[in-house]
Amino acid sequence: MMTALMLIAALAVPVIAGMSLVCLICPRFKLGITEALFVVSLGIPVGFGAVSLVLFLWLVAANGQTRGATMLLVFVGLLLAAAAIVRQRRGSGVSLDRSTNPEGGALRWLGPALAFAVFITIGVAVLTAIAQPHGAWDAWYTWNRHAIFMQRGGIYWRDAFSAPETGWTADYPLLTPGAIAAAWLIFGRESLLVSNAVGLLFTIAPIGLLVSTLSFLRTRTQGLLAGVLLAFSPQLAIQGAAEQADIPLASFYLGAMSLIGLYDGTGGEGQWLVMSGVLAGMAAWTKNEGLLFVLVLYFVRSVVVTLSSGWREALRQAVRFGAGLLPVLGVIVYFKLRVVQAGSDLVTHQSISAEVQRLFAFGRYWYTSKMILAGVLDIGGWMVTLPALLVMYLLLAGVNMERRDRMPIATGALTLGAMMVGHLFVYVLTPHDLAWHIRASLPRILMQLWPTAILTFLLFVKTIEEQRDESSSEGAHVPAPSQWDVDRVSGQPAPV
Amino acid sequence: MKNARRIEIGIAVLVLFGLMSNVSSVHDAALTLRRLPSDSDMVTQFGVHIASIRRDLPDHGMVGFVSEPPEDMTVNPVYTREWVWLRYFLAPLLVIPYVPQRAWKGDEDPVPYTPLVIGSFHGASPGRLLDEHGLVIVKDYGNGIMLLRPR
Repeated sequence: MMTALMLIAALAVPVIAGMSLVCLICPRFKLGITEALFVVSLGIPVGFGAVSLVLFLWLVAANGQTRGATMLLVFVGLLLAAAAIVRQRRGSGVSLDRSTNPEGGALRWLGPALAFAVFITIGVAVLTAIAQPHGAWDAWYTWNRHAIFMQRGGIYWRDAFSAPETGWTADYPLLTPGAIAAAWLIFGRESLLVSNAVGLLFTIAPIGLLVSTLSFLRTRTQGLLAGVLLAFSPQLAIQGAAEQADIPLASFYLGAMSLIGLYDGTGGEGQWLVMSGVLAGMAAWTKNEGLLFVLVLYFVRSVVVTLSSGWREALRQAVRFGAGLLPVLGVIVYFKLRVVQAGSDLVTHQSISAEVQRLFAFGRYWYTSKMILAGVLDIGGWMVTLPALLVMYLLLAGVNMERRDRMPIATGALTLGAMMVGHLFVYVLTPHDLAWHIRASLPRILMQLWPTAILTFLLFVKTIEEQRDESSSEGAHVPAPSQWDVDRVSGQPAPV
Repeated sequence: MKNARRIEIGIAVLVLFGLMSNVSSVHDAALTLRRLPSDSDMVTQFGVHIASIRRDLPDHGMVGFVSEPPEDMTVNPVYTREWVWLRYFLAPLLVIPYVPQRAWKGDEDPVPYTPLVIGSFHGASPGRLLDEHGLVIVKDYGNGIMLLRPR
């Protein structure tokens, strides 16, 4: 009984802190069911990210001593919760959920299908966690091991990042280890139950985030379909239970992109971009790939906005995004420059001449491209080629021509494309055996991007509700549920 | 309405294939669970295997690791796996592959000195390997795990 209560506390403190941060940083909105799903789903990664940052800063300040850290974590969680409640009481703003359909709502059977898919995901994750309670390779090699250093390394906690550390991964950022160590501290001791539970929360968070975001931006059916596509991807549960950092990273990529979509789709409230910057920063605090994501997203978004609205608007958005990003980036820079003494596996043991040689070895490009294509065709781990099914579905449903959705679609698609190009170069330049490196990491790299790919794809595809409206109106223009804007004066939604 | 019906069928096809993909993954996960030897996974078993040497090691600092060569993860997965699991179970103690001080060449990074070395052996007597590395046995735990020190 006591164990169950402590487990709930260990998970609740970060999640409540995250939900509160979402409510405090994002624009004020009315809390309906879908909004609550959005806040919880985004609150899970944000909360664990926040506690890992707090714990890291505490360890730096207290020279590794954890006495007092638990109190601080609980205090920060309560303080944020109180501030969020006060803010919410001052007025709740407009509802984000525009998914009520005059033609009869979402497909009735899709909700139960999603519930079943989530049930299966949790079932597979739990079975996998029972079979491998310590997680998989990366969990023992890096994440959970670094969590041990943070939780009970004491004054020796920096040894994991010191020069004699021979592992390759000493410069890997600390979001996942910090999140697990913080949960252990609140729980009172190291426990596989806690690290498995954190892994499970990270596994289900992107499903809720996809469902809610697409319900806001498109329709309820589109949201439910997105959730089904992700939850029915066996790799989500398997990698989530493996306690690797790729599923948390996927949540941050998806979160950053969802918030940009909400900025574009709800009348341009700058706080969405600030929160998106926080999420992008947390992606970089999760894995080094996240730094690539930050660079790519910043560049792509700037180009897209400059082309559509001019450089002044691009600069305005970049400043807001940067306001959320920079504090987290500052912590990462401190970690890399002041804590890490060992080099990165992709940089050390590399000579310039060897890198140049690899850069012009065109066979490596051909091989890597072939492997990436094969990986993309197998994405999600379905028994059929899912991209082929999705192309078929696109042909059936048609393309979403809404002007309002063009910006997030362009940002999402170009970011995904540029990320793949970036990873191609990482593989081409890798000092490791190329085939081994691709085999060991490509499925995880693709899983990081998969939820964002689903979001972008279902923004691009016309919804079933829109098709119904087009058929029933027979030429008369009836506003589709996705076509809405916020009437800034009255605070009420109004069709465009 | 025709188009809407077509989309509904498209969604149903996606859900159906998703469901079928998951039936196989549930089956795979259950099968893995059933195949586990003696009710625990390999990592947990290794933790039990090294429990005795754990008590004789410091909480922090650095120890070496030696096992049957080759010390290359692509050709000797057992060596790599055991080294990685030792790193994991013994953290915050650092476990580094043992290199004798005399093997250090001046143009390389200096080899860190490790006063204690963990040996994990699977074959017959490791006497020759210990001689080659200049190591002597401090304690033999009888299960292939030995506590060693440089001569």
